[in-house]
Amino acid sequence: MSASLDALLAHSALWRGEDCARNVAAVPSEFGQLDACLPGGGWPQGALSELVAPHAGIGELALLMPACACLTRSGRWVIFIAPPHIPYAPALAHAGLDLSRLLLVRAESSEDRLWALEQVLRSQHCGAALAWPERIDARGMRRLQLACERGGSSGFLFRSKSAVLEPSTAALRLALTPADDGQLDIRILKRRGGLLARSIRVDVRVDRQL
Amino acid sequence: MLWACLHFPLLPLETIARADREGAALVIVSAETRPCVAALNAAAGRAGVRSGMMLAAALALAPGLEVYPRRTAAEARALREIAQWSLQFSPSPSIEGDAALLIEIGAGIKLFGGLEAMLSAIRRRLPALGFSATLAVAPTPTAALMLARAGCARVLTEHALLRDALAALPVAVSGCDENSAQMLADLGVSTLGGLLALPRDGLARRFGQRLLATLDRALGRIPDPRLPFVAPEQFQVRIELPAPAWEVEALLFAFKRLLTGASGWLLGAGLGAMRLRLELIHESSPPSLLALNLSAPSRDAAHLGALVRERLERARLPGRVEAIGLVIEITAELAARDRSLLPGIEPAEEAQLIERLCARLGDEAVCAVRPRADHRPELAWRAERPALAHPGPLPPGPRPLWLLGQPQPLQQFLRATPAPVVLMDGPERIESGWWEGRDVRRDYFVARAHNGQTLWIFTRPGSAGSWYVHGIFS
Repeated sequence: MSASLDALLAHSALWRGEDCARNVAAVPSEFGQLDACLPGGGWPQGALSELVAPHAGIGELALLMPACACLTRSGRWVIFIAPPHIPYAPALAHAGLDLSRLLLVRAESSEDRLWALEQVLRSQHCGAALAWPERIDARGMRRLQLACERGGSSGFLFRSKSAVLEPSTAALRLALTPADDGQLDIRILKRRGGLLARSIRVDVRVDRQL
Repeated sequence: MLWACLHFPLLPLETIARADREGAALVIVSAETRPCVAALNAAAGRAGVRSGMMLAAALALAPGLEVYPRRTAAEARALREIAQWSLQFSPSPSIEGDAALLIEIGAGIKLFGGLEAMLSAIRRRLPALGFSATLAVAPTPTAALMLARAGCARVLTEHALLRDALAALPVAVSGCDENSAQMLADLGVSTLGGLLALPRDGLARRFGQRLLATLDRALGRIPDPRLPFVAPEQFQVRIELPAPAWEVEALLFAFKRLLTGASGWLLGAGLGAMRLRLELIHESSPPSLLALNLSAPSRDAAHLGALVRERLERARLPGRVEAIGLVIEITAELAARDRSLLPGIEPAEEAQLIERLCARLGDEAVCAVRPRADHRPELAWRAERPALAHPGPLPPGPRPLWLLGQPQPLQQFLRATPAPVVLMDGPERIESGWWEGRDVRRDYFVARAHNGQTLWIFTRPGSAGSWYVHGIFS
């Protein structure tokens, strides 16, 4: 009896409400406190993540750099789709990225940007794609999600604060706010598994980027 | 030796109809004073049109019928295109008459993993080209041709069975002239079996050596050499559209036909395409030429088709397109089996992703970045074609992940006067470039703004008070 009960409890489809999901594919963010709270111990792979920030330049990019560095070192692409500024090669190299695995895609219209994002996420060679979309409707999100699942890639969408109000199919949604001392406060708005009430403080300060 | 013969009974029709996506009712008429229907497609057949019908009657049944005269030059071109495509199965196909192709398949059976596998590969790949054929196999080319002409899709591998198999075929498949055929019919000989039963010397006297020689070749009694088709150095094909088209889908449909042929030609030659030229011929304006560059050689028709689609969608055409052409301008060697050792990831897929992006967004849209040995921050990086970039030397101080394209005045950037920032690190003096007239003399600081942003700002020594933002530590 107890053996079959154990087997049932070990079943991955059974949610016991005590913790976030563990056995999902993820690439560690290498920020200890954050990884401890993320399902699988890192950024989800084969799924979308949304990062909501009040404005650019509070460390949202630095948050992704260790994971991106790890992905490029394992030979997968990290692709910036129409970034708002120039990703600065010396700083990226400092952050440990293998620049031969980094691609920049320029696209003018939001339609082209979404198309390019979907294309790269669909590729098995893409480790992570970073995009700054203004608006995505539910159908667009769904397409991106499917593309992630097919390629096993991580899609990172940097969203403005107003996007929080829209429903989302992303597997992970984080709200980022700058703390007084230059660290980053992260609230998990959505994740696979249970919710987390407290916020996490992560050190993404400049000295990490040296 | 084992020969496969592809006979194309509908070649006159398919030469025109293969570029038509919609499959509209279509007939080919004979070139006479009172034209008759010589060939028709399925849609015309459903409308009640029959072969041999007067054109006027056919038009009464199907008013929307599209009528074309037979184009023998285009048919010959189509047959050469099929021969190029068939190079993937044999190095020396041979065009036979005006509607058949002979392929020596004996040498390639092992490569394809058996005769059945090879034949099914031929049957499977042919429809994408837009043609339908009867495929017959026999130990001699003439016998294969006779079987295929008779519409008999048999696979014969043994000499011993040849005579019985051929005996049942009608006399007409021997290719004899009409007089002989009529004379044989008057004699009561309607099959090759009957013909073979006649005494040889009498047959030669009445119908000439040619007919006898044909029969001997079919049965393998005398040698049956064939003139091999010589493939052109460059792949270059053209196809006329049944009706001038404008829509991407219609053009793409026709291009896919040509790409299928190109793929077979490339496979036969052990090559992959590096640059394609798409030609779109218009009614009144000069042709539009679209170039398609690939970053790695490819002969995957599906992948090339996806690239052509993106390129066509981006193109601005001056008018409707009457005909299309495809030229493979640059090729590179590509091994016959470009599959990865490990299942799952195809090595070519990586380059294909970049090509797809370039085909739609433009060649300049996709680039890699790498550091450059220059002290001036705006020159310390460069964008280049995606390739294996080697990181250069890195500058010593802190560098932001975002660089602004143009330095912006601090107050304008933060939209606040006075702009409240706290200096955290610096100064780092950067002074360089005086030798080329683009000299830079700046003191850089890391500063935290009131809104939580960490900025890379500079001021010019001696000009106190004017600060510029050059980057964001994001």
